[in-house]
Amino acid sequence: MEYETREIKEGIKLHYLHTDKYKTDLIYLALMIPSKREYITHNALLPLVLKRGTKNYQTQYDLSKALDNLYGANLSATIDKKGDNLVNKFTLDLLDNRYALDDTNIIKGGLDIMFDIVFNPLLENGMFKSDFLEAEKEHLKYNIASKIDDKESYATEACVSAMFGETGYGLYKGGYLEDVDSINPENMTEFYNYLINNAEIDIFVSSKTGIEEFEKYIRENETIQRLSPRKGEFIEYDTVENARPILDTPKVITENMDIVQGKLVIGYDVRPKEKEFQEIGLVYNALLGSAATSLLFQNVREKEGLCYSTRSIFLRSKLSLFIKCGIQVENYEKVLKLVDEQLDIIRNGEFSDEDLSNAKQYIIALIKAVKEDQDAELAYYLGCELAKNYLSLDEYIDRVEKITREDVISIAGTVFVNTIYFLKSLE
Amino acid sequence: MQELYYEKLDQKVYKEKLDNGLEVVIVPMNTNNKFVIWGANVGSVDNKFIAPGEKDITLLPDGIAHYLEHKLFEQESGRNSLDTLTALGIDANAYTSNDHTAYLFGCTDNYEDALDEFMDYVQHPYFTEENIEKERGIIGQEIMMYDDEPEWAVYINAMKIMYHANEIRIDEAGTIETIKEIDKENLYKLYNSFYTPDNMYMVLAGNFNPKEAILDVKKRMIMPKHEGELKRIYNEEPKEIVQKQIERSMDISMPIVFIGYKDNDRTGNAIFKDIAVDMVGDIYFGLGSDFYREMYESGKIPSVPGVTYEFSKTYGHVMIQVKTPFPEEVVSKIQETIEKAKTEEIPDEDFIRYKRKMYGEFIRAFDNPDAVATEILSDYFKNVDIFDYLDAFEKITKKDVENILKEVFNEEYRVVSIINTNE
Repeated sequence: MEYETREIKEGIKLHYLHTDKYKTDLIYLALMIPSKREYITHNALLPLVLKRGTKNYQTQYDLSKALDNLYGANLSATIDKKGDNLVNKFTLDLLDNRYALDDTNIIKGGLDIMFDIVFNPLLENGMFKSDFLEAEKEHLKYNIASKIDDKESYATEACVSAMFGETGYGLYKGGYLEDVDSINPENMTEFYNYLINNAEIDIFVSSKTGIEEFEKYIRENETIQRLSPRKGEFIEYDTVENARPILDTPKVITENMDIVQGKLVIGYDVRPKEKEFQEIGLVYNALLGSAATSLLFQNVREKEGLCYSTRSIFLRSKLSLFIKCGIQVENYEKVLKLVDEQLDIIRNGEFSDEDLSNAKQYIIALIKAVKEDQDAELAYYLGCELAKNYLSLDEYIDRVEKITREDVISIAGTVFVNTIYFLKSLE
Repeated sequence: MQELYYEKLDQKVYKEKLDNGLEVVIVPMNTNNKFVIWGANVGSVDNKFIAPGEKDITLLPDGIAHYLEHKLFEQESGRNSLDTLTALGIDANAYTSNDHTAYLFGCTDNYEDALDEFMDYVQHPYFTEENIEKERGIIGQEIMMYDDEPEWAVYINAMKIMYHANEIRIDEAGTIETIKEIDKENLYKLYNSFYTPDNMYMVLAGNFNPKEAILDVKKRMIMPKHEGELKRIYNEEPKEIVQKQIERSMDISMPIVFIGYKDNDRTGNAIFKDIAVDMVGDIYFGLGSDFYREMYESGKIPSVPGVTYEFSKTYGHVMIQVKTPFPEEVVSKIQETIEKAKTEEIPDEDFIRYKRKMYGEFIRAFDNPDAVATEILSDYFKNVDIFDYLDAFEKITKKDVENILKEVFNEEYRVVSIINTNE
């Protein structure tokens, strides 16, 4: 069986994907909770504090050396947004045991360290150590302030925040500066306990080594044994019925910074008529602005030379679409008009069969490529499990192939501008 | 066809030199992906040369190698090959670096069609004044995008004060001014002089049967054997640096500090240097180091400094980079750490731990055909064979690393580049 799920206990599952291709073992540990303003900053701080020390490895230096000794085992943490949910994902990548030059059990060693970091932090009087906490609060402040360093990403976040407000998906997953000072050992530990006891926990494994061995190490791990069963809470993705209303007039926001190139981000609401619209949305998006054959790439970049980087992103969980362009400030009006024209082209069905076929081919190639990349493949299954919407890669390809011209025109007619955000240079 | 086997990687590699002089490498791997990369030994450092059969030096505008890379996709039919490939569902791209330009694609299906298009556009340059003019706007935007990136700014400033004349100090994509000089004539001149089989290299990695793969390439190869010799001209570079420090301000959240050590020696073992610099970075500045412990806990740095050795045939330098709210203090501390390290012996425990880590990381890097093929190619253009790293990891001694630390991290050839915040 290529892909298999086994329940460790209620709310805690192992998902295993066998592979023959890689010398790397890839493991994800995902903890999912609703995204809420009251603890978003605590959540952003958590991985920074967890890596400072565990009961078994009391400093980050000890942790680092232990991982290095496992043939360069690598552990990292990310926070992702899946609709209005937050996913804390810890990733462990290891050399598979069979390639070790001695009998080191890299897999067991790596899993033990990862579970130690996440479930067995170093505490003082039952709470996070205040010296660790204070030091990491400073680092968190730096991280939040560094939003402005990647201008495109900054502009995107600003547009998202304007569109959705400070709630759910609209929250900045890196946390808020004004929250940091009031975080203390009590409320940090309180949040941590909430997360550990309530989050849905999913462990994903991609390896040559069999599921039996992984299941054994997980079940035998003391910290896993101490975890209580839980129900988990998942905020469903937006539906046309419950989505917020379309705006009569779009919001227009401009900001100035000491930069050379302007960053334009336009956010749209999408309200498809079809119940199953995921694949239609993807094909529409490829046609509009994600492939090199797309309208944005061809007409705004190639024909007019107005930008180097331009693309569109379709976000099914929030029924939205984003178009981004890096442009010269004086071309703002021109680009807005040109972008509008591309949307009209699709609305009016003025695209060729070849255009549609290119878009479909592009998506299908991306899906096929997922199978050939260990991280992309495991992440695909993570996405399916978290959204509780399992679709095999082959079924996915099948669905994309069936998308018609009419499907794409139909969704195009339900795309409405919500927010126009422009980051420009100082006057 | 030559067959090589690397036991530690459990990897076979096949090599053949075609009749026209092109060297082709095939790396069969257990995947459905096929990845092809074809590179030419011309990059941003190659702005001066004597073309075969000529006497005079040709001097070309900065950024021309990169410009050519953009334009090569245009076909005489009016179609753009990047579009054609994308329409086939092929992931195609290209890049230009200091010392080479590369064209690449990856796919699981439609390989024959993809290879047709790929080898067609690389072998058929087609430049017109019109299509060149249109690209100027796009590349102008690309240049402006880099201009706003602080990591790029801190680096290029460091190169400008480290080197008087070495071409590494040239902006890779050129500047808005220099790209105005690019025209049909000089693009063809560049192509005809450098895009010859003896000056190019091709690597295929993934789901390949070597015998079939080489036939597929030979069938589509039209480049004739190249006669005559291209003479590259590089500026004389004195040993000294230009100035010790450079600073600039940008709208960023935290200052970035970059320390560079110019390495004037081109004869030493580059692979040993690469490994040694990485090891020095790991042991003295990495997560387990005293430097990190002290600087991180006192809030002076938010993360581990990046320490690397950048090199090719005509240049080499150590780069140390870190963000910090206290640039001057951290520069001082880095300096102090290096000087102290030169007086000490590397602890055995650290040396062994580092080697295990490197071995594990190197083996795992060979999981991915894109990464494997790209590394093989870019190392080739530096005159390095990537597979020599395996032996080098084993052979390198503590003494080697200690010597390299003393020779290459030389105070006399050190530069500091800082980007401050605008406040």
